[in-house]
Amino acid sequence: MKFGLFYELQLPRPLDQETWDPNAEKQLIEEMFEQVQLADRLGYDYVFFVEHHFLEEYAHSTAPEIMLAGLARTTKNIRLGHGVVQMPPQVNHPARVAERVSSLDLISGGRVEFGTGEGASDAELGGYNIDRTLKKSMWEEGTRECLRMMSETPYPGFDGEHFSMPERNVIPKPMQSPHPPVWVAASRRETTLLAARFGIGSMGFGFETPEETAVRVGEYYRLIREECFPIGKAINPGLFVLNQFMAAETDEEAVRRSADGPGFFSYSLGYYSTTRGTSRTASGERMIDEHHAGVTNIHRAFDELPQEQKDGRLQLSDAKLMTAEEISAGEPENEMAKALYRAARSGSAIGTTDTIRENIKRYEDAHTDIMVFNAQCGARKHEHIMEAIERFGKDVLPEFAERHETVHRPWRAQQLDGVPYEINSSI
Amino acid sequence: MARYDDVHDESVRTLLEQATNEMRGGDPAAAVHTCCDAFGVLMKQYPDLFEENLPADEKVHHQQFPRFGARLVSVDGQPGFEFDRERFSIGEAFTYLDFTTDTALKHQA
Repeated sequence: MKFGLFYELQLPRPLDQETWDPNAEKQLIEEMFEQVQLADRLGYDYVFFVEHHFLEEYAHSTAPEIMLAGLARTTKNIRLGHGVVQMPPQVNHPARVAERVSSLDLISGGRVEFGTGEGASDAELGGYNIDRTLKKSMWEEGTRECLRMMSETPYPGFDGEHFSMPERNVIPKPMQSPHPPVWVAASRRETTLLAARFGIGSMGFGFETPEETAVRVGEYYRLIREECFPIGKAINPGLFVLNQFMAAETDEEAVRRSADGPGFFSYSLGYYSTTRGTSRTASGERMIDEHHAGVTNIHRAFDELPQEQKDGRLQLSDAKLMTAEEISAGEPENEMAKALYRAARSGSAIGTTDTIRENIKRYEDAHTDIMVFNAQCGARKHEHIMEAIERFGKDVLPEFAERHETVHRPWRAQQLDGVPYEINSSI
Repeated sequence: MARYDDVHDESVRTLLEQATNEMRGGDPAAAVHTCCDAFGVLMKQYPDLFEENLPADEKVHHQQFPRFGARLVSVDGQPGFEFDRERFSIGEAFTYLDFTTDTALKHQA
């Protein structure tokens, strides 16, 4: 199993004032650079940046290509991942995506991972006047044509459902041939299966358990072997899982340093996943107030929640990490609520390095290709994130890296034996 | 082996096989309609599915029947489907097919 870092660039508003300090966003970015550069030196394999729009506090990573370009010139080995580029053409015209991804691939020496997606909440899709029911179709068309633009000279042009353009040679071409490894954000389980059919990697953002991951891995690789018809010119078989992460000298200290990170992550994600004003309690009481752009202090709303409503707060304040069985026993049915619940409660990569090693080994046993850590979230402190990256990088990562070569790679080769398509994968 | 082969109910399995063949034949729109038919049969067998999958609000529900151009609706309290358009992408059609297949497999288990 390989490892990466994941960035939303979360920036909770201060609790005691209405907006951020003028330098807050700059400081957040500077700290991110230090964290990723440290991870690069320690041998972490990937960093992924989201692309979200207008989701104040939850995700200030609105221009990931800029962050990745900066990292391309200040890191050496870590692979630079879009997690993801939003493919509806109103947000990113496919030709502009091809130009940017190829340019990034060139300046990074071929280190790009091309994650693709649809966009999520009405807060961001509505900002670009995108009909949510069309987003999957837009993703599919935009991704397929973008990959053709990267790999065909000239691109013959296209007259599609969602965009059209005449024949042009889209330049530059990427360093990785025929194009960088392609991924798709898979919030729905069905999208993981679709990823296999299209021959692209599945980015699992649902905080899946090891047992669920094992089932998905089996289905995914069967489809790659038996029912794959690639959307691009090369396939990228692979699954990653996202996990909350904080390492410290003791479990209790890791939980303390984790602070409200996972809780705020879950709350703010849920906040934007809910059309404003529609989420109500059984008695009809509005759970989330209407959002006022540039004004609403989501962090304060989270902080003022009754203790029992703060996802994970009770467990965190008790410094008690829940076992997988405890998590499973109490989780809600609805998939979104389940993801939020797990994000807040799962301690599988929060603790000492011994705790983390033992817990994530279950994902390795399930043949997970990549685990990506959500380290920067909520109001966590930069120095704590740095220490966590260093502890894991020195104490745990090397043994997993060794087993990746000696155990996982042969297993993957067996799974992919006989697959007739060109493979471009960094796994 | 295709996943629909594991579905015990013959009527649902036949519809899922038909949808799969429609996908292979390059007709994702027909496959979406057939998946809706199959989900309709499932809702007759497992009535709770209707309420579980009928959106009560505009929240994002990743575990409910997809809303990518074909929608589960209530018609006088009974399940029905509305189609916003007649063209569907491959990805949309597979989403309906896999969701319906998963639902069938999960409930028979």
